[in-house]
Amino acid sequence: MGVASPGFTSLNGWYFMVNESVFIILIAVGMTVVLIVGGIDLSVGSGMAVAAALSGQLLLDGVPMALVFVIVLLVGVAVGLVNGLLITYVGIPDFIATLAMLTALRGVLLIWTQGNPVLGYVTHAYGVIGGSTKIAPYLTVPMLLTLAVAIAGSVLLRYTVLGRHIHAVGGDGDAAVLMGVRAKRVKIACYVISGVLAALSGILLAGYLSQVSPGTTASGYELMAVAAAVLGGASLSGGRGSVFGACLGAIALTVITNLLSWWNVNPNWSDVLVGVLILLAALLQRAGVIVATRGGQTKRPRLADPQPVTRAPQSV
Amino acid sequence: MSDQTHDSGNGSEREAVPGMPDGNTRRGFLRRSAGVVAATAGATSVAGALGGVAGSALAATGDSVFPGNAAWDAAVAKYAAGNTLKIGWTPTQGEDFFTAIEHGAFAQLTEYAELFGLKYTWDTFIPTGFSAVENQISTVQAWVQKGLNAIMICTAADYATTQSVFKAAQAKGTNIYEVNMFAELYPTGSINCVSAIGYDNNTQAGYLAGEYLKKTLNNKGRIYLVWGSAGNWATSRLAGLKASLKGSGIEIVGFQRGNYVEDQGLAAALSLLRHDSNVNGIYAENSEMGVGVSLAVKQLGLKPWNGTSGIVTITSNGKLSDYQNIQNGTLTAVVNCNPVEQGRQSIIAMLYHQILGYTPAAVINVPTKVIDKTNYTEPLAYYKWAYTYPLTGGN
Amino acid sequence: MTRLERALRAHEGPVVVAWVVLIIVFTVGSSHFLTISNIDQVLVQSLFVVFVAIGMTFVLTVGGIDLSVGSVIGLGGAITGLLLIHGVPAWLAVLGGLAAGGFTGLANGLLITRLGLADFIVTLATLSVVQGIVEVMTANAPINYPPHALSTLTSGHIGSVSTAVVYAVLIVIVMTGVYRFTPFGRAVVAVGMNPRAARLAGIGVETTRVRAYVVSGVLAGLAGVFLASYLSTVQALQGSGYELTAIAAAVIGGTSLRGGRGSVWGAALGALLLSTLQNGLVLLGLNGYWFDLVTGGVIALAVGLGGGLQGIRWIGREKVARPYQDGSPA
Repeated sequence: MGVASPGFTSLNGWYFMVNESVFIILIAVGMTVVLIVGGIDLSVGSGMAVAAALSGQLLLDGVPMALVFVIVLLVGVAVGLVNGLLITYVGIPDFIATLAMLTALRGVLLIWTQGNPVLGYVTHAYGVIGGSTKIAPYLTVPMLLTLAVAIAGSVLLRYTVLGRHIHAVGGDGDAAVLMGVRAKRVKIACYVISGVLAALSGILLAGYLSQVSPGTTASGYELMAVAAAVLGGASLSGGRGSVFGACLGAIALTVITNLLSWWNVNPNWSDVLVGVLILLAALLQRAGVIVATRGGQTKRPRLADPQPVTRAPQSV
Repeated sequence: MSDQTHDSGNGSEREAVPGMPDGNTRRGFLRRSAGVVAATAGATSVAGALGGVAGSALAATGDSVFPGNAAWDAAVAKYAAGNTLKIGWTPTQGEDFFTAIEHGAFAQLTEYAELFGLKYTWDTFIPTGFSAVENQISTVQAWVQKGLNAIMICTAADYATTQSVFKAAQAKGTNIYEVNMFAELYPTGSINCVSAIGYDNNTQAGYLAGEYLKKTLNNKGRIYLVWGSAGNWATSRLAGLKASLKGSGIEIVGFQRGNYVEDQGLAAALSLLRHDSNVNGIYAENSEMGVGVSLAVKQLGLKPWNGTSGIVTITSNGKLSDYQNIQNGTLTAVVNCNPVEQGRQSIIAMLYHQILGYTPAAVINVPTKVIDKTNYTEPLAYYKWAYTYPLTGGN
Repeated sequence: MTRLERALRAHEGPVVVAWVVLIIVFTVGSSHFLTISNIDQVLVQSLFVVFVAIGMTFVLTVGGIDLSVGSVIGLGGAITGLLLIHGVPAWLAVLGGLAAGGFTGLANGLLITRLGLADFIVTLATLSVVQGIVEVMTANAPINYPPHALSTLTSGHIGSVSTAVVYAVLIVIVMTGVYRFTPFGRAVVAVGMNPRAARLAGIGVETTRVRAYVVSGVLAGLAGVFLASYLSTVQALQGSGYELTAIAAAVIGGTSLRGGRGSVWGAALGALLLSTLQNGLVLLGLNGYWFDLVTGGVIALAVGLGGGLQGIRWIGREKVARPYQDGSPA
């Protein structure tokens, strides 16, 4: 066969692994924003699937591609908005609201398609957009988009008012409210960001995979995204997280699964090894944090430091 | 029911079905195939179709075991009168392989409704998650409570799991029809259902794929396997494949799981191929992973099989995506496990058992076949035809 | 405040109301719903999630999350099955399954507290590791339980009630007692509410967290034994996906994901709500493709109702600065 066998960590190897990670990276960036504000967005897997299927179907229906993407991104906005409203104004806990959305969106997809895949929509242009075709050596459109999103996310969180508010709300919601931050709006904004990024990721995934299976496409991606964000330093109790870290976390997860296939490890054992490697990655990350904070902080972080003080239950 | 409908091949008095490319009518298709089989199989067909080996062969040729004249129709209609088939259908998940089975069932139900005035209701339950077998089992129990009299089930649950539930259901008058299950793994006598309608994963899927690989690759080469989640289908197909390849010059040099989905199939194939692209074939155990494997071959700039050289990609299922990918050259071949036929045969067994009181064969295997560029038009047309019958809640 | 108002505003209030509403709807909608055999079946169907959700309540209350339960279900069933096959007495085999679950919980707890790793990541990793172990154990064939072994667990009857239901009721009562009336239970709540204050009060914070994970592991193992006995077999992916269902059940039942608050019987009722919903929708004959959408909607409604009921006291009273919603951190 024609192609020589490059090494696992050759430039070419990294190209494939990064190109494969972008879908998780995109939702992990959104997840990081949501985690920092003290929430969690489990709906992203189904959100991606709906976006992917809708993109494919609208293209099949002859809608111009640019319009398709705008429509699908707006659907992502709507999903995020509904999540945010359910959480802030109806008072449903984040986990449950977005879990319900995860289930409901998958349901909508199944009702709409009756289980039939969306396929036959991929053109050469869409393949380029989805990253199955390179635009330059070691470079695809989703890579560029993801890089842009990661930079934008970092800038948003570090240098903008909204970013500071997100940290404030996630760090201590009541204090933020007292300081005049409109906590509910900030939180809704975070879910909208996550919803849009899930839609974007879904649009790209549809181009990458060339078919969308309503029952299974992107199923379980939500946990991967949370894992990537947490590996990257985000905390489930809010206030903490790094877009850059989430990107590395997502790539680490991809490397882990790729490594096992690369060495053709007996698949019966691969789940065991995936778990062990995730633990190792978490330990490395933890060790890195300790090293990084040892100099700067007066208080040495305790290895067994429990989660930050949490609010007393609402008295009845 | 006029004689005209029985004799005319084109069924021109029927309305054209919207969305049907070749302009055939529903009835025309059914009666035409019935006529052919009735003519060749003759009087032995009814007994044969229900009686075991010969039955499997006959069932294999299509639905149609009807003597096919007005007198028989009228006789069956009498049995059907006042007898409603209350059917429940629960597949393992929402996926078009099962949707195709459902369409096949509706094709047959529609014909029976037209011929015999058969009444039916149709309930579905689709569990979320591949392994939600306990939800399917509790659904079967709820359907028994509700008084459904025929349940078509495809479940990832083990035989041992289901048998006591099925036994209890049948004791209460709810007949169980297993569809697309791994009946080959268990002794026929232990199956507590009217019929297990499906195909033999071992001999009719795994083995056939192996034979195709041997033939196509001229009995030598290296192949990768991209396999589904651990379970009975995966086990049985792998056994069949290995049996076929045993002693041949074809060597399995890599085996990874893609868990039945596109992206994981793609990721597994990419890693395997990047490590060593010197292979001649890849067997992806289902269509979705087949799509992923084809994409991996394309992304790496490797050459798909062109008839003489390249990488042979083969999969099992027999769905629309398979035929389209074969058509556009990204997939070499697929073992057609004939979902449409499984749906139709389930209804046929139901009619014979529940309306007419026959005992159908314990295992009814539909015909399977390896489909490639040379012969995809026929299964594709059959598939599309079944989809012209809408899914409803009954009549 | 009337007694009714107070009851409705209890954290279990919404799940009780939602469940009663469902029962009324399904009773009106299907004559097959409110029969003894159907109710018994719904109870049996729910008990696997009930067990896991009770364990999850302890972990959530202490401020953690346990994603590993999905595969611990498989492990508990598999270990018990292997012991039974090798002729070990049933009670010992069941203990073995529970011990396997407890051991996983211990590993979770120690990795989280001793190494300071995030609960989510550790339990996600053990989910994968244990899943792999079960896959290896069942690689060649499913583990089939010997006929009639443990059959009293799930197929026996006392009158017209399944023995499994009796066991489940006992577990709910015992665990409610443990949660509310033992020092351990109070420590779980205290640690979840405010770990530093708990530490100052002399509570062993790390020990309590580890114990909560052990409880979750043991109960997941128990669920696994019941599920395996119900299905009479253990397959590779048995129990996968239960983690999210169990968390949903616990939260529907009034447990807070922020820690410090929970209800064992509420979690059990949350699980019962989910199985009642599924059973009712099947009996109503709802098209299968609609189940996910309706389930998602009912979960949101049931918990949203909680927000609404919590708000009762705000009606017609002076506007007190309402605390930020439950999802927000302190």
